[in-house]
Amino acid sequence: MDCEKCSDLLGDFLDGTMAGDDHALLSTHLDECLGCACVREEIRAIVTTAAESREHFVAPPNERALWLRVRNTLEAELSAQQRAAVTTGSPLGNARENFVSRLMNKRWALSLPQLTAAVVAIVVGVAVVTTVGVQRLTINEGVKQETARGGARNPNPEQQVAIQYLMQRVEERKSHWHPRMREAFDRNLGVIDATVSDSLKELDESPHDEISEEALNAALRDKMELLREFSEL
Amino acid sequence: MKKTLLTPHKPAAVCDTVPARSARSAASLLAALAAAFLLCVLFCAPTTTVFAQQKFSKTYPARRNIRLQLNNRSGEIDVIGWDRDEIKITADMEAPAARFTPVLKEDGLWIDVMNDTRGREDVGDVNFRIQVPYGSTVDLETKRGNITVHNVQGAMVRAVVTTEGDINLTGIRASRVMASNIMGNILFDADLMRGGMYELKSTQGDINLRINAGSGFMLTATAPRTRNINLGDFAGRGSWDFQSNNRRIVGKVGDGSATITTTTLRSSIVFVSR
Repeated sequence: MDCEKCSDLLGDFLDGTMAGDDHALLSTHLDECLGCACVREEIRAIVTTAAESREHFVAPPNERALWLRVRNTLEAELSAQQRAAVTTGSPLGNARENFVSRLMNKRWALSLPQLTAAVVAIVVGVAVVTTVGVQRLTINEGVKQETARGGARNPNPEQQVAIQYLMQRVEERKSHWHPRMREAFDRNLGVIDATVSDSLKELDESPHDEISEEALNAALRDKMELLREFSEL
Repeated sequence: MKKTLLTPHKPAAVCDTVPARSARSAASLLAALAAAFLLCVLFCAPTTTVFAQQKFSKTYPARRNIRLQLNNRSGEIDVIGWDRDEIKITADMEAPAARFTPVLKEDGLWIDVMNDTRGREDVGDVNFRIQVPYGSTVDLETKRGNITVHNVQGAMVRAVVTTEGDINLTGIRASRVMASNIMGNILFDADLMRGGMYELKSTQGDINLRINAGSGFMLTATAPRTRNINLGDFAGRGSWDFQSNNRRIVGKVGDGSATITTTTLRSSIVFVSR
C-alpha cells in the first residue's frame, strides 16, 4: 500500500468501519510509514476534540428567532451610527444638505447696482418667457384653426400648381380668341373667383360649415375645368 | 343755286349748250356706275359662294333612339324632337365661319365643331337648329351660348355650357338629365321617370323646375349664397329637412322614386307644379 491509498482509507480506518485485508495492509503501512502515522494521530486528535466539545455547538431551540434578534440588533446599531454622523456633520453623507443650508443661512449683502442689475435681469427674463409663450400659443391656435377647416381653405398644392399652369397657358392663347369668347371667359372666371372668395369668408366665420366647404370645392373644380377647357381652345 | 348765279353772265349760245353737256355727263356717270357694278359683281362672285357656305343644312337617316353628340365652340343650340326617323341639321355660321363635318356612326350622329376648328381660335358663332326623333339621346356641349332642348324623350339629355348661356329643357321625358352652366338660368320642365336622376347645377343662375304635381322624388336643393329655395306647391306635399339656415333643403315627395339634385351657388331655386 502506498501513502496516497493510505490517506484515502484513513477516515474509514479511524471510524472503525474498515475490515479484512485492507485493515491489515493499512496497519502494516502505518507501522512502517512515519508520515502517514503522524497524519493518523492528527486526525485522531481532531476527532477526539470534536467529540469532547460537542455539547457547546448544539443549535438553539428556535434558530430563526435568534437570527432575527441578531439582525435587529445590528440594524439598531447602524441607525444609531447614521444619526451620530448627521449630528457631527459628516462630509460624505450630507454634502447637498450642507450646500442648501449654507445657501439659506448665508447673509446676502448686495450693493444698489447689483440689486438693480438683478431686478433688471429678472424683468427681462420674465418678459422673454412671456413673449415666447404667447407667440407659441398664437401659432398653435392658428394651426388648430387651419386644421379645423380641414384643409378646405386653400386648394391643395397640386391643385394650385395645376391652376397656375393652366392660367399661364390660357394667358398665352387668350389674345387669339374671338373677342366675345375672351369677354365671356373673363366674366365667368370672375364669377367663380367671387364664389371662392365668398366661400372662404363663410369658412372664416364658420370653419366647420359643410355647405360652404362644398361650395368652395365646387367652385374650385369649376375653375379647374374652365381653365382646362380654355387652355386647349 | 349755283346755276341761277352763273346763268345771267353767260352768252345765250353757250347757255343753249348746257343741257346737252349735262345729258352727256349723266350718260358718262351712268356708264361708269354700270361698269363699277359689273366689276363689283364679278369681284364679289367668289365671296357670294363663301357666304353660301356659312349656312349648313343636311338631313340624315336615323333610328328612333339615336344618339346626337354635339360639341360646339360658341353659339346657340336648339334641339327639337319630331316624329320622323331622321335628323335634320341646320346651322348658321357667323364670320369668320367655322367649318365642321357631321359624322354618322353606328351609335349616333357626331358633330365636333371644337375638333374641326382646332387651330382656328377666332371663328365666329355657329348657331344650330337640329331636329331629332323623339326617342333620341342628346348630349350637347358648348363653351358659350344658349341651349334649348324641346320634346325629347330618349334615355338621356345632357346640356353643358362651360361659361355663360341659358339652358331650357322643356317637354323632356328622360330618365337621366344633366344641365350645368356658370352664368345663365336653367329651366327644367319635365315628366319625372321612376328611378330617374336629374342633376341641375349653376354657379350664378336661377334654376326653375316645372314638375308634374303627382311626381314622386327625393330632393337635395342647395342655394348657399341666397338661401332662396322656393318649393312652391311641393312644400306641402313632402317631408322636408331645412339645413344650415335654409341654405339646403333635403326631402321627399310621394314615393321618392326619382332623384333631383340641384345647386346654384349664387342664385335661387324655384319649383312650380303643373
